[in-house]
Amino acid sequence: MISLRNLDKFYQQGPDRFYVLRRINLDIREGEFVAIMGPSGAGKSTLLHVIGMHDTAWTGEYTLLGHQVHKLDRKRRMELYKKYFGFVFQSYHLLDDLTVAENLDVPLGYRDIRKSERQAMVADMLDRFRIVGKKDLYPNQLSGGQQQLVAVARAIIANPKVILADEPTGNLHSSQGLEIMELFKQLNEDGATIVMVTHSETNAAYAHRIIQIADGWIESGANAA
Amino acid sequence: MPHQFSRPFAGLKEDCVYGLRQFRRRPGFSLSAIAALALGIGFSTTTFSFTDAILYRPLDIPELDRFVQVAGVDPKIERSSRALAPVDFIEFRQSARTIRELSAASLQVRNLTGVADPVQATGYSVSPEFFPSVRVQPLIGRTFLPEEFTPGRHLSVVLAHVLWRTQFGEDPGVLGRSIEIDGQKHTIVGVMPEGFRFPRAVEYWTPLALNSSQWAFAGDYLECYGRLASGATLEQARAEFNAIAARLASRYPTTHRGIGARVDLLRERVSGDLTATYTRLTAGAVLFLLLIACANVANLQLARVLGRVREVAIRASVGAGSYPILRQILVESVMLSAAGALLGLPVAAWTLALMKAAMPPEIERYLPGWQRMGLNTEVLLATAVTAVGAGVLAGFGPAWWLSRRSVSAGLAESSRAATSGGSRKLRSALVIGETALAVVLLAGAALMVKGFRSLAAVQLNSDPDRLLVWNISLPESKYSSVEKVREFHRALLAEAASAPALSSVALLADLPYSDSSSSRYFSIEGRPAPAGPPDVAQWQPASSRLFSTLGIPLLEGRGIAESDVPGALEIAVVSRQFARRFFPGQPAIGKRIRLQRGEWITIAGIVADTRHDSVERRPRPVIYRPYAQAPPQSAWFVVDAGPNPAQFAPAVRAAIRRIDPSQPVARLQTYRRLVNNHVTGFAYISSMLGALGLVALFLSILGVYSLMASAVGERTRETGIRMALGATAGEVLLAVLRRGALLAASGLLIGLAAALAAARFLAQVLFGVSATGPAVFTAVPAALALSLLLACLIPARGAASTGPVTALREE
Repeated sequence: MISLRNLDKFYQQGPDRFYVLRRINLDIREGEFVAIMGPSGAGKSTLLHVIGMHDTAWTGEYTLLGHQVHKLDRKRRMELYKKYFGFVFQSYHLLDDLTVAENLDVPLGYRDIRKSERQAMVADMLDRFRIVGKKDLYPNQLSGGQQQLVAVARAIIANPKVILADEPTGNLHSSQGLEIMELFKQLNEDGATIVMVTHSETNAAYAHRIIQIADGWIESGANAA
Repeated sequence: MPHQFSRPFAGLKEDCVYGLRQFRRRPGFSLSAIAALALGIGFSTTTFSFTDAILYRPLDIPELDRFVQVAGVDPKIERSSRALAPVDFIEFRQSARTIRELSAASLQVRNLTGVADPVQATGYSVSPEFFPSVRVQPLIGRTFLPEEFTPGRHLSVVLAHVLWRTQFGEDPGVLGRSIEIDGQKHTIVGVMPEGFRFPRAVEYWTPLALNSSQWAFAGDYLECYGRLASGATLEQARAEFNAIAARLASRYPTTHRGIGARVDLLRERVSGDLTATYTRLTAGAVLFLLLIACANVANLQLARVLGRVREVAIRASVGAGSYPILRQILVESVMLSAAGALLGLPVAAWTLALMKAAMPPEIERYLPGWQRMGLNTEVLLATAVTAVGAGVLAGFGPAWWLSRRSVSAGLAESSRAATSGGSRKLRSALVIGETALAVVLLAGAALMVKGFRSLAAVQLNSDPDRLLVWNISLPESKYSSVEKVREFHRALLAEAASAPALSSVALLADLPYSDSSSSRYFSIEGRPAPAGPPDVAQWQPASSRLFSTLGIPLLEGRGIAESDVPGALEIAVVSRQFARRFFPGQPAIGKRIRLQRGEWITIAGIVADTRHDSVERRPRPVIYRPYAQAPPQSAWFVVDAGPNPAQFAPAVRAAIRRIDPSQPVARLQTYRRLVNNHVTGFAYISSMLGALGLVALFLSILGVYSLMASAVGERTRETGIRMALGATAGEVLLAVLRRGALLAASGLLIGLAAALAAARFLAQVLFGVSATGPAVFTAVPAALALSLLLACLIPARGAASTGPVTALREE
């Protein structure tokens, strides 16, 4: 499903290049649950953002479901992203001025979906995550776990094939973290491919495969078993 | 009592030092705020100086605020200010209790000889009370003695400084020497100090020496001045003088029927009614500009204090109450406006110098106070007060908002969280208010400029660049009979016309746009006298070539002919307005009119209306009379002398010298120059308002730009999230533009409603301005909307080009 070949990402510093990702060769199959681990500054989040096409300044080859991403322009990449990806952040990144229901509606607003259909999808998601009672609350009225729950709901509302999660439980206490990880497990069992950056061994245990990364190099787990 | 209030200024120095450090840390913010305030305060200072000089201290007279001018009012004439008759003056002086030291003055334009070249000079004949009431001592010599007001002993003259300088080289030995005024020798007894202009700029003063029958004369030709009595108000004086005027009207029904009295502060009349109104409105426009500048700075301040929520929370956590925080922000705000004021002073000095340099001297002499404009103590004091006021105004909102943040919330919040609160609403409100003010100012300025342009648009059927004009005022002492006057005019017309280039020379009593005009009361044959004052029309003795030279079309009947001489039928050619007003629905030609005690005059022709001056709302009725049948003592000559008329000025002077070597010629110039001088005031006000409008536009753009730029900065995270959730660059760009457009639209709508109300007000108080101007009310919001949208575009493009990773990493 996802194939990276000889992918480099670097910053030019005068005559020198500072590599953040180096000769990345990575394959992820559809339906896989992959954890990316490594020390701070190793390039985990950068790799996740490259896969999620938020980061476009890299060299190498990237193939997503047959689409040669490295040959696509920004607009086309954005179309692919909207079609296939959902993103969950460590700091939730809910919009402060919007209610829970409005936050869920945001990704749908950027896809060509009719208002009535969007309302139905939001209602369905509120129901599925059992947060109907909180739909009119603002993010600052929710606990951290509840906020991340909403963030996960927002990530999957447009029915993505891949969920990218950057330290999804980093700001949560253990019971809330467990709840979120059970949710990811369920989503994966329902067919979603999950790529998760984590520091937590416990969280990584949910994954089918662990990719170890250090100083921009993949040390292990690059290829599916 | 808390410590902070027991010593409210303790720590002020530290506040200032800390403020300076803050400015250095954010030079961009500081420079923007100072620039906005420098423009606002700089223009305010210019207007203070202008208003102070023109409105409040135009004359260097002790207790000028108590000095009043008394005049008559004819309700049939717009903005009427009628001279007083000697009988009026006597009655007012005897009866009035609210005004004391009443003096009379008669303006006269006379020929001065016995000096270098003969010149035309303006002077006043003044009553005995005149100089004592002014309380200004002569520079040398004395003013008039009581016996010099007796007819026969009145041939003394006091010179104005300007005449002393130009004609006598400031010779202190001038006292006792003689000059000839209209051929009569007058002994120089004194010279007034430089800058003494009372009641307006003249070149000399002579005693008003009337005999008893002259004092009993009911014809109006005197100006009247006095001081409000101690404890008396202007309203009381007006009531009293109107009561006396009513008595006079019943006593002299022929001349005074329906005539009331007006009493005005001299300082408001001395530059004319319009100047006072325009000056006040310019001051109002500047106040708007200052408010816009303050809103701008308040917005910048608010953006700045958002970044200081944590700092202030820390200060509060270590014991600072609301007051020190409020004070700190206000001190910084006042420091900014003080810097703005310092930078605004050169702006004001430059503007004032430009205004002074651009004013033609022949106009400047009629604007008392003009040369006094400058950065004097009073103006600097007003600037200082404005600076403090603007600083407090701009800083109070942000300071109040910041001082009310709770400690815990402040410590917990990042600046991002802080921006989601009321501050965003406050800042949006400021931008909406600023935009609304800009709409009102721009629309008002545009309406006024449009009005002034239409006033200044000289309506002539001939090309003023081809016309040479001059004025001849014949002294009554030498030209004591109508025959002599007629003969002079006939000779000059013939002499000038003998040169082929000057063959179209024509004569008329009052040239349009020359600021001179005279009217006559008349009656119509077979009609009873109207209730109220008699019918009145402009009186224009003219020569036969006048209509062709000025391009005034003949509509009916005939024009003035060379054969219209004394002894022939007394005829008049009237304007279309005259015919319509006094003979509606019936032919005017053949009808007869006459002045109060004159011959019957037959109307022989009707010509098109002409505009006589810029402030006419509609054409006035005019009676043109053959100059030979009604020779005017003072006359204008006009000739189409081709593309370069000024080259014939020497020929004109020579022609006059050949007829009467002692007769001076005045205002010999091209007609273009004369009309340009006439509209100078409008050009000044238009330029000033245009400049204010442009500065307001600039400040509004700056305000919206800075708000949108900081809003985009505050929303970097949100932009990143939205892009991470699928928003395209175009959608981000549109979202920012939409927010900017919403603010601009709110401001424009509120401003448009206020501007419509302001336009109605302007049309009521300001002559020449129309409340309706579809072009103005469309163009101003459109221009502003476009400018504001452009102001949003730069931050919007910045937001759109930010990638989600960058945006979220900044978080």
